[in-house]
Order: sequence, then C-alpha cells, then structure tokens
Amino acid sequence: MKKLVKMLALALCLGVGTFALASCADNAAAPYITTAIARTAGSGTRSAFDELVVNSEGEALEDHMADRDWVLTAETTGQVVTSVGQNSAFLGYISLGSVAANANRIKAVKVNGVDATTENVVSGEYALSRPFILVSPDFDNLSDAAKNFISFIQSEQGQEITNGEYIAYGEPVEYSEYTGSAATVSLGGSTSVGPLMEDLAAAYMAINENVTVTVTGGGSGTGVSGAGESFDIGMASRALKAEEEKTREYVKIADDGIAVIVHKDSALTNVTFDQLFDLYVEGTRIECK
Amino acid sequence: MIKVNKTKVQDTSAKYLFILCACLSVVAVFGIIGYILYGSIPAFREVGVFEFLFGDVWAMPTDTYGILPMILSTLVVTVMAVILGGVVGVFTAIFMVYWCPDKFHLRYKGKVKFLAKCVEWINKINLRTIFDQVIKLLAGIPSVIYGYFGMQIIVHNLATVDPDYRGYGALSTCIVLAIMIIPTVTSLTKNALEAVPEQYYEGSLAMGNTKAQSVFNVLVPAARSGIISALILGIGRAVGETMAVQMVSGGTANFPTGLFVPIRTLTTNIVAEMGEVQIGSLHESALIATGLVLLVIVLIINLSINLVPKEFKGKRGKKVLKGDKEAVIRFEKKGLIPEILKYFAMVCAALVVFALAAVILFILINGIPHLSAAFLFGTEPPSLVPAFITTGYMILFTLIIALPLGIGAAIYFVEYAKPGSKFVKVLRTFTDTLAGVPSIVFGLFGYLFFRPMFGHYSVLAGAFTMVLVVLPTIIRSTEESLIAVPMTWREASYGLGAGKVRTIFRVVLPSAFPGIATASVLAIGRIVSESAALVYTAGMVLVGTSTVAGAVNPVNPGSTLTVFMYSFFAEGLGFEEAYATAVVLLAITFLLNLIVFFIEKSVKKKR
Repeated sequence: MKKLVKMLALALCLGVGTFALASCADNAAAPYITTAIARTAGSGTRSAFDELVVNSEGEALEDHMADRDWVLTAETTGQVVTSVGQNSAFLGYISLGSVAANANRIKAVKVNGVDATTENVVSGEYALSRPFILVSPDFDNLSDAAKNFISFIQSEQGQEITNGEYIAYGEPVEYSEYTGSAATVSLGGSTSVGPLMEDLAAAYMAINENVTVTVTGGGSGTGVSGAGESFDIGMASRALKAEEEKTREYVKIADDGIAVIVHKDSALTNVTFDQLFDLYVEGTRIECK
Repeated sequence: MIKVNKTKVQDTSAKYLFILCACLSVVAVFGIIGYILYGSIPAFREVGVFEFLFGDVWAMPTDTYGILPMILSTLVVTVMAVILGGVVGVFTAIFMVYWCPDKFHLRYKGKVKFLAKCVEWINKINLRTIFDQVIKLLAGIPSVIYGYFGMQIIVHNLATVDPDYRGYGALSTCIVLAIMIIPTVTSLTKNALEAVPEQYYEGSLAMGNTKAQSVFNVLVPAARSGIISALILGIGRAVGETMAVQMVSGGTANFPTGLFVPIRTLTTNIVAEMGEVQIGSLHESALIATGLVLLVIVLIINLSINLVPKEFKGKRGKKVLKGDKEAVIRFEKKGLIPEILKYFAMVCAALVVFALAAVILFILINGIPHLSAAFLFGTEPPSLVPAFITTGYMILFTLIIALPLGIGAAIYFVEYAKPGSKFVKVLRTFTDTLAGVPSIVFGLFGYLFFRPMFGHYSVLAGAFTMVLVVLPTIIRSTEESLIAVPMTWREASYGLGAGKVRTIFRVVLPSAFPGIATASVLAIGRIVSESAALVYTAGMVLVGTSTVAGAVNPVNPGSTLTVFMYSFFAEGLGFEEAYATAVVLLAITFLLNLIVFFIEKSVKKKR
C-alpha cells in the first residue's frame, strides 16, 4: 500500500520533472537545416512559392516538388510557425505579414541576399511575392453591404491598414459609410489573407455598426470555388488560374511577400534559390552560418 | 356506430413513432454511406479503383491520386498505438479492479490538530473513484488539446533523439494515439473484468493459487472476449482520430519506412486538403473517396466485434482435471510470471496517471497566465464570448433534435421490441455502427449534405451533423436507464388501468430521468470536444472577426470553443490565447465529469 502511494507520488514528480525539462531544454541551435516545411498542395502560399523558386538551371520547384522524407506538410500558417519555432533544424515559408507577430519564435532570413521587407517587395528586389485577391462570380451582383466593404478596403483608410504589414494595391477610392439596413457579409478562403481581413473587418465594423462581417478560414482553393456559394466573397493568396477566370472575377487588394523563416536562434541568415531548391527536392542540408 | 378505442389508437401510433426514431440510425448510416459513395464515383471513374487504392503518389497539381502510403501509414500507426495503448490500458484496468486500494491508510502521530484533520480527510478519499474519474477525464479531453500537447512536448522531445532533429512521424503519432485510446480500452476492460463471477476467484484461491496467479491465470482469461472487444473499439478510435494526428504526424504522404519519417493518414488527408479543395473538382471527389475507404475500414473493424466469441472454451482446465501431467507442469510453471505482471500492472496505472498529469499541467502552466477577464468576458475580439454563444447554440440545437429521437429509439428498444427479433438486431447493429463512424466522416457528410442546405457554413449545419454524432450515445445510456426501471412498476401501472403510452410517460420516463440527464451531459461533453466534424460544416471563423454580433445568428458560421482554440493555433497569431482557451475547455470537461459523477451517485443512493 505504501509502495503504491510512493509510486503515485513518483509519477506526479516525473510529470512535473518532464515539464521542467521540456520547457528549459530549448533545442540548442542545430548545425544544419535538415527539414523543409511545405504547405498543403493547393494553398496559395505553396503554389506561389513553388512557382517562384527557380534554381540556376532554370528548373522551377513546382515541377519537382514531391512528398519526401525530409518534407513536412503543414495545413496552416500556424503549424509552420509552431514547428519552426520549436526546432532549429527546420525551415519553412509563411506570409511576410505574419512574421512580425511571431518574432518571439521565428525570424525571416534573406533570400538571395535580399532582406524580406515590404520595401524590397515594392521595389521588386525581393523575389518572393504574390497578390492577395478577392473573388466573386460577379461583383456587380453582390449585396450593397458587400460592395461597401470592398470599397472600404480600397479606400484611403483601408489601404492605411493594409500598408502596415502588406502593400496596398491601386489608387485609393472615395468611400462613404453604409446607410442601408442591417446586413451580414461573409468572406472565406486563404488563411494567409485572413489576418489582414480580420484587421480590415474590425476597422470596418467599428464605423458601420449595422454590418456584421464574418471571415472563415479554409484555403485559397475554397476561396475561389466557394465564392458566391459558401460565402459572399472569396479570398485567395495567388492569381486566378486561366480556367478559373472563366467563371470568376477578381479584385486585387494587396501584394504580400513570402518570408522564408527559421528558428529565431538559428545562425542561418541567408538562403539562395539553389539551396532552397536542393533542400526541398533533394534533401540537401543547409549549413547554418 | 364504431367505437374507437382511444387508448389503443394512442398506443399504436406511439409505437410507430418510436420505431421511426429507432429506424433513423439505419437511415443515417445508409445516408452517410450512400452520399459518400456517390461523391467518390468521379474519383473512382477518372482515377480507377485499383490505381486509387494502390497508387503511391498523391499530387493535387497533376491530378494524381493514390492513397497506398496513407492506408499503410494508418495501419502501421494504429497497430503500434494499439499495442502500446492496449497493453497499458488493459493492465491499468487489471490494476484498478484487483489491486487499487480503496483508501489511503496514512497514519499521523504528531500533535498538530490541523495536520491530523488533513490526514483524516485524505484517508476518507475513495481512491477507486478518483482513478475512475482520471480515466473519464482522459476520455473527455478534446483531441485538439492532445494534438497541442503532442506537438509541444512529445514531438519536441523526440526531436532530440531523431538523427535528423525532426521528431514528427509514426512514433510521435503512435504515442499520442496510445494516450487517446487508453480510456476506451481501460473502461471497457474494467467492465469485462468486473463481470467475471466472484466464484472463479474464490475457486482459484481455494485451489492454492496466490492472488496474482488467480488474476492472470483465471480471471483475465475468463474476461477474454470483453477484453478483445475493448481492443477492437480502441482500434476503431485510433483509425478515426483526426485533429491530434494531423498535428503530430508530419503531414507528408510518405510510406512509413521509419519511426521519424513524416507520414499522412487517411483522416489527416481529408482534414488537411479539404480547405484547399475546389468545389466540384476531381480533387474533392478524391478526398471524399478517401473518406469512403476510411469508412469501410472502420466498419469492418467494428463489425468484427460481432465475430468475437462470447465464451472461450478452455481445453487446459479439462486436461488438468483429467490428470494430463504435462498440462499440470505447464500450469505450475506459470507461478512466477503473474507476480511480475502484478508489478507491471502497477507501473501501467502509474503511467496513465502520469500521462494525465502531464497533459493537465502542460495546459495549466501555459494557459493560466494568459487568462484575463477581457479574454473571457470581453466584447472586443479576441474574446471567448462569441465561442461561448456558438457552443451554447450548438448544444441547444443538437439536443433539441437528438434527445427526442434518441429517447424515442431507446423506448422502442426497451419497451416495444421483442428481445431476439431479427429487426431489432439489425437496428442495433446500425446504431453501434453509427457510434463507430469517425467524426471526420460525419464532417464530410455534413459538408456534402447539411452545408448546402444553408448555402454556406452555418452553426445549424454543424448542429445537424452533431445530432448524428451524439445520437448513439443518447440511445445507449437512455436504454440502460430504462432497463433499470423495475418491471413491477410497469405492471402496477397496467394493473391500475393505464395504457402503455401513459405508463411510459408517467411512470417509466420520470424514474429514468437521471439516466437521461447523464446521457445529455455525455452528449454535451462530446459536442464541446468535437472539432473534426465542425470545421467544414459550421466553419472556422477567424478569431479577429469572431464577434458577438456575428455569433448571435445561428445561420452564420461560428466556432465552438474547441474549433476556436484550433483557429488560434491555425492562424499562427495567438498561441497564448490557444492555451488559455484550452484551460477553459479543461475546466468545462472537468465540470461535466463532476456532474455525471454526482447524478450517478444520487441514483445509487436512491436504490
């Protein structure tokens, strides 16, 4: 009997001990990047990254990317951040706009020697960028509230919010508050556009109390095909494909960089497209220095 | 003039109403299978059944869909998890039934009155009940929390062992799954062991066996069929688990060639790619077909329970009785092993307590510092108020639909059905089948069937899906409480001239009320912890736009607490808030367990 009590006590101590261990033993900076994290196929971030990363022989990642032992596949931005944030042997990519909020876990590295900043995206020096678009089968058919929300996004006020972490697109338009009856506007799609849309929706609802804006997640794929069906307006973090343009219209609202991220304590500061290509395709380790 | 017997009409119409309720599970099972089959036809036609099942590449950009790596990963991970979780679970149950002491027997000889009081109080604690609650709590924790725990603790620590510093893969997945199936295996094994007649034990002791020998050589073999069923249900649970696996498996569709190779299982394939799918595309159909394969696997596993023989006829005992010398020697040689197994059982039980302590501590340590009044009750996002509202709606709508249906079905099973009739057997098989369907398959069905009903993601679509999820639980536990109502009460009621319907509603149901209340609380627990079935039906509202104004209308999309926690994590914006939400979820799980405990206690007192 006494043994038993001791054993239970021991188990509890072990539990506490493991915790202390797990919280203290932060992965000492690994000497190599061994593992690449990709996003799920169909994600806007993934298609843009696969298309843009081209090695010195002119081969694009999208033609060679396959499921491999050294590639983890993350469903969401959060999963990439969590994995990279707890392991210095990982490398992944996320929307540039999401980097600052997670600076306590991860950092963005230079790509081909260029810093990942919005300025460099604007100037075109930073090679990894893609558009954020809104999608609908027919923008003229949208409800007044939805149209009003879109014009808010394109207004000076909306673009100011966008420019915090992203690069707003196009000349600002005139905006006047929504005057109609109470309405709901639903958006859905890319999780990369999500954080921006949340900020925009919050600001919009603060001045238009009559309108409720809901934003659901999913991915760029559902964003395009679900527009007008699962929700009023779709969001995607890539350009429309030719076949999609037959049935969908789009409005570009911003440009966003794709940041290549590693653990915040990693010694890695710069990666080249060749290194990225070889890591994702061949599993070639990248030395951290 | 024809005199209509009012009571008779009432009775017959009520009977058919109850049959209708019971038949609903048949309709549901056929509906789910039919709909998913229908949805996967394009994939099978375009890709080919053989190429789909045995193809080794899954690549959406080139429309190549083969799920062999995922089938193999699912099987490998499940087998590993059942070996690990099954062994620990069964031995924990053995410990709970045979060795768990009732009470602490601490002694205190000092003079401090307060300490003496404390010791007295500690000695009053019923350890068995506590252990029982530990198991129930483990069962009630949402799988998203297990996934979080697995990612932060298990994967993190395994990475230090992995030569590639990775940690994701079959091993991490199997450990998380093992923890998740332990409650199922343990509680069912416990029931099986407790059902073994007392005489077996006494007889064995009388033959000169020690306690450990009796337990491992006589009692456990006697409960074999129950233990096997428990393990099969554990397998079913492991195959169908989605969210936790998705977070720790690595997500890439490789063959499971090593412990640390990132893998993707059937369930995670669905949940990972459903968000990127284009409605009506081949990709969507291929994912639905994945669901069909998963469903078929789970159905085979669950139906195989019926093949487990109810009794095993031992040959050894007969041989020993006949004086077969070799058999006698073999029997005697088994003396030492049970003594060792006894200690193994204790270690397993300690491991289970350790696992629960680890999960709870992990959540509390990381979550409590981030709890604040503004987060819990504030109106500005991020706050939990919209999630509370949605969870409340989800519970309300689900129960409003599921309770009458479930109770009706249970009444049919207990009050009307003739025991042993084929019709009832079929109905029961379908109810059990429904109970075994993985929640991601319910999610898929809801996505195909209920979501289009509202035109978009909606809390109501989620609630309809949840009705199917909780129906078997409600039927089962209501049934048990109806059976417990003494037959004499019904007879007395008939004797006083009451009709059958009147008897059921005035006599049987009121006295079965505590059981029905328990059923509702269990269903609430399931609703609160569910995530996979809701993400693609009720939607995953991004946390920044999750407002009270949006949540009050149940036609809008909405996130329950568990989904809300998942979206904090998925967006990569609020890890702290995710932990804080987990604390709230834990508290709710604990509270629900407590309520069930007190209801059951009060029932026991009355009898």
